[in-house]
Amino acid sequence: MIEVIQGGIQTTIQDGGRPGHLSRGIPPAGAQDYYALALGNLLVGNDLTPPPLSVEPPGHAGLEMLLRGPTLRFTTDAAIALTGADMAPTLDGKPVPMLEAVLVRAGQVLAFGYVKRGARGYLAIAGGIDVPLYLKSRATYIRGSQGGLEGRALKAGDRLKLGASAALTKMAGRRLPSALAPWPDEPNTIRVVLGPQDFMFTPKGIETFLAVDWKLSPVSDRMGMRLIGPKLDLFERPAHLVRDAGSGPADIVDDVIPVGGIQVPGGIEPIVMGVENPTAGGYAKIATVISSDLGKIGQLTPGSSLRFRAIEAADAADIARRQWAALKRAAKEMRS
Amino acid sequence: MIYDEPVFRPLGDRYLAVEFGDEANLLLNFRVIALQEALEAEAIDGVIELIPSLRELGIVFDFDRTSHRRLENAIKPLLPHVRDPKSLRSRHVRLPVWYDDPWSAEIARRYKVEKNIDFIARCNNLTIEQVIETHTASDYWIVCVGFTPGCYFSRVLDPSKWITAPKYKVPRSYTPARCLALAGFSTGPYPVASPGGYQLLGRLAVNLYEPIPRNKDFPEDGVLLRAGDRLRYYSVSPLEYDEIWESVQRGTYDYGFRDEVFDVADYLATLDKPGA
Repeated sequence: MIEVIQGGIQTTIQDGGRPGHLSRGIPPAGAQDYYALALGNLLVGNDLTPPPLSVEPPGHAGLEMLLRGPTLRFTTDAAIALTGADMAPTLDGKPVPMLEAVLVRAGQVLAFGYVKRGARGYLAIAGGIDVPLYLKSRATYIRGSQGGLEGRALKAGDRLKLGASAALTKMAGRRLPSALAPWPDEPNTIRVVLGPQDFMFTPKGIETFLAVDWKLSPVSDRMGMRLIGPKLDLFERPAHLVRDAGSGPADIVDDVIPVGGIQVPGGIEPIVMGVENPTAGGYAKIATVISSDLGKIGQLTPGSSLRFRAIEAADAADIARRQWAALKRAAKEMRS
Repeated sequence: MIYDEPVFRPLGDRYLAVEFGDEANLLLNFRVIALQEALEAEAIDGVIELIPSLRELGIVFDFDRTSHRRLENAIKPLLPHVRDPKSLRSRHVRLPVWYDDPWSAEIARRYKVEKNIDFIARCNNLTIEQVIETHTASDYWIVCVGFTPGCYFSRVLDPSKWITAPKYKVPRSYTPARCLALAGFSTGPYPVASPGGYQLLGRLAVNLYEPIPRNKDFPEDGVLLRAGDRLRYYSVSPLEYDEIWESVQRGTYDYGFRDEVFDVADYLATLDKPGA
């Protein structure tokens, strides 16, 4: 069992999320940075966290911690691993290493400070956090108040049950294989596939989108991350769109908004959709963040700058495929 | 615009969209739903999920088993069959509404706008009674479920019964759960309390979203309706509203779904008739 002494800014139970309900308006939720949670689960011998919208089972649930993590008291021995953002974690006041399996004894207190690098830290615990499944996943969907613990972020007084796990002491000190990068090479470069409405922007609009340094606005969460920067130039729309979709220069007749879609209402302040995305909407989407970089953008703190780089859809799928294959390979090696 | 050939667009590396056009035309939605039916029947390898919207079908796929290219090639042979669907499977359900209800009136006061149903009446040159009469005189077709859980966009099937109004200039930060509203081409509900900009008509006496379903008519994910369903809104008195709402809360209300086949060809033929 884990007792929550302080909840932190926004600490939620997350796994790989719940795909399969987008046509009902229910987003997948799950870890915004699936790769970071997957690394943690690897280290403590848990089931891997799959990429968002995958057919794979969602893996063991851990904690996603935003900007400042919680303070937690363990009432039983546990093996843990900390990945993603560095929040200066301590165990009974002494620094704990990240990116390796650590044995926590019953009675010890795990605490976090404010982030030093990244925005979302992940805590994986051998056996996972045991809350009831909601649509086959334990992920918290904050805006919909579903999943996780009562559909909300953790607060002082909460108690978290842990799943069963064996051989805790054997895990201590375990590290990641060198093939798995713990942190992206270019953390501020977000790769995108242009479209579906890139054709509504002028060449100058597209060029601006890809050339400037965008700033992440504080008005950002798991639903959408808003960007501050110049206005993007759009073509004048045909009369039937003005008639059917509305008067705004980026208004379209509603279509599907993908996870990672970048909506640009009125050509200003692009919004990158997170894992709690609205599933349909009526503004032009200039591009879609590739699934492998959804975690990267989720690791940016408000005020930090980022740049977009366009790649082909087939290359984006290759990157996703390779990343997932590397995780599965490592899981197999570490088990044997 | 209705495209001669549907356009395939990648939405990043996880989705492929098949877009039939860019205008707000029901014909496009019939094609979307027909393609959805066809893909469900075909069970194409690697397809995880189908997401219908008014004018395009979104497809989430498994990158370990297929690709944008391979999926596109698998879908292309189906396209001629969905171009002019003769009929579509479509459930029909009646939804009870307390039109001109006190909650909507209170919202208008709070946001300092004209009572929405008065505004709708004015926009369409009708009395409030005529608004209700018109809004309950045609079936509506659900073109898309989405935005938030259980929210949908429905369109009037009989164009002569179309009433419309512009959205709020500044959206509300709050709308009570189960309010029913319209704007542009669409009537839609607020299944849970949420921000919004549609003009409020009334309040539904039934749930459209039960996260933990109490009622047998709800599927596991708690969202009652889906794209391609047909609705008939009907007016209930405050007393009837209370009775229905009580049975909804007990989980005993019968939504009365009818599984039907919607004759698309016949419907389009009636539209073409002069005077229709």
